[in-house]
Amino acid sequence: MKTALGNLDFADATTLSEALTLLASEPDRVPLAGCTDVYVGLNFGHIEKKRFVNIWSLSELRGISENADFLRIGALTTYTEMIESPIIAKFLPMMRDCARLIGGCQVQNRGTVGGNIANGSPAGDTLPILAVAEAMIIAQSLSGTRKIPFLSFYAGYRKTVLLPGELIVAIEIPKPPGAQWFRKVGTRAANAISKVVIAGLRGETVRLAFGSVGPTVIRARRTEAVLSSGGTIAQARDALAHDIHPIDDLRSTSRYRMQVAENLLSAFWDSTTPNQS
Amino acid sequence: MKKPPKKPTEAETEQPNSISDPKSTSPYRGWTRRGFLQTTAGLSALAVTARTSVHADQDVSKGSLPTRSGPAETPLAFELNGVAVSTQAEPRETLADVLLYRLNLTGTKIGCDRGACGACTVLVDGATRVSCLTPALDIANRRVTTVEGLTLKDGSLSPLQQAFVNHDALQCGYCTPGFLMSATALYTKTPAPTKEQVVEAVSGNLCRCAAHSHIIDAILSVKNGERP
Ligand SMILES: Cc1cc2nc3c(=O)[nH]c(=O)nc-3n(C[C@H](O)[C@H](O)[C@H](O)COP(=O)(O)OP(=O)(O)OC[C@H]3O[C@@H](n4cnc5c(N)ncnc54)[C@H](O)[C@@H]3O)c2cc1C
Ligand code: FES
Ligand code: FES
Repeated sequence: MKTALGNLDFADATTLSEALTLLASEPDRVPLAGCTDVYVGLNFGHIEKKRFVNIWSLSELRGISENADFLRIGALTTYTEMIESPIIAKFLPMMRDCARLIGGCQVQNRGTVGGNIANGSPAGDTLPILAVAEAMIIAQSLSGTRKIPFLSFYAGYRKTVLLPGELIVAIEIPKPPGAQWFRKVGTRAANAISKVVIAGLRGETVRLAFGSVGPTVIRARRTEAVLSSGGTIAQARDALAHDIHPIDDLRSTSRYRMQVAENLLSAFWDSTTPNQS
Repeated sequence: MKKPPKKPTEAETEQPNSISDPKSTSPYRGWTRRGFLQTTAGLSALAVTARTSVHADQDVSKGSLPTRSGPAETPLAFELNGVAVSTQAEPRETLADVLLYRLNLTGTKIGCDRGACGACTVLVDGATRVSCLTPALDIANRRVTTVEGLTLKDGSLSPLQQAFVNHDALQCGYCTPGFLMSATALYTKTPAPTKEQVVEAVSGNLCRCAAHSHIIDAILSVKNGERP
């Protein structure tokens, strides 16, 4: 049975203001959203924290909307909600492709985009998308709201720049310019953690981000520069070796990851090249 | 951690109409492992009765603090398979724990305890959830359906359950309740699913006995909830 689940203290917030009021005085409390990361840690004794605040009922943190320039996705928006959203289908189809490949339906019904971001796993599948879309994280505490560029949200392996007492309330995404592309490679198509994950955007310039190949998500700036300035895909593949330095771990090897990342780069380029015929 | 004592429910203590044959005797077969353990442990009664919500009148206005609970157990009320139940749970318990160990509903299975196998799938407000990663206290006042709730009022199997029997869609059967719940949720949304939709709907369920192709056939054979 359970290993390390004794003496938990569980606070059930019903409004954002309740949650932020509590976090202001007890900033060590761990927010609980869909629990698909936290409860794996609790069931297996990897999480030592004992005090939690459940934010699942905060309707202020749900929903997807758009204006002329931006999409706004509430932090508690689930993968299922993104899969079913006409706004996502129209403006961010790579997010729908990504959400359909996270866990199974049971996890998609519970896992949230805010949880994926805050959890900060280098294998988090939404992160390369947010990196190429240059999203802004909206963080709020009792003392106010701030916008954090997604590209500076991680300070290191699983380390975010969120301050004590802050919650992610939403993500703002400028409507991406150009063709979108998302792929992940894992042990099987569904319900598997990525060995390599890529999101690409091809408009006037090219943007590329990779996950699972470094301590945090990585924008492949050198590779982008080659492709944006008319370089060949062979030159881009060479450049990629300077952008990412994957490691061996329990899920894969450095060599395999590098090869797959290069192949995914070529596949991105082929499938976003307008048909010549 | 010691769980509060419970008495076997009527359904569990009821002696099945077992027979004696070369493999075993009727009295031996009448004992379930669970029934045996519970009886010998001298467990006392904990009634599962209908009660109103424990959280309903604790609505708080802005700026106030959330309701806290734990580490001791607190009352927990929710709707289970159409019946209001009220029980107790500690914050550390998951929905799977409460179903299995407090309410004695053993249809829900724990395979991996980490969301990856789908054996513990139940419906919460009609949508599939892995009960092993659902904090019990988070289901206060919600509607939960387990595999026990699929059986029709007259006690017969639901069309999906019958389809699993007809298509030999199981070997050990450990994964079956989870697959049934995922398929039930699919049919509620999509009355005539394609094979691709079925495969996607059960992609979070694993069958260690590799009965997948029979499972897919069984699910596909039920169209519009008709008996296959
Ligand atoms: C079987 C299975 C398969 C999975 N497959 C994938 C996969 O393919 N790809 C993938 O990327 N992930 C996968 N995951 C991981 C997981 O589903 C995601 O990371 C999910 O998005 C986490 O969201 P959550 O709401 O469940 O987070 P929780 O578990 O509730 O929280 C995760 C972390 O984020 C913090 N947090 C949550 N919300 C906020 C907020 N609003 N503000 C501040 N902090 C917050 C929590 O305190 C915690 O530290 C899988 C998980 C399981 C169990
Ligand atoms: S036991 Fe819950 S998914 Fe495996
Ligand atoms: S029948 Fe044994 S796990 Fe599926």
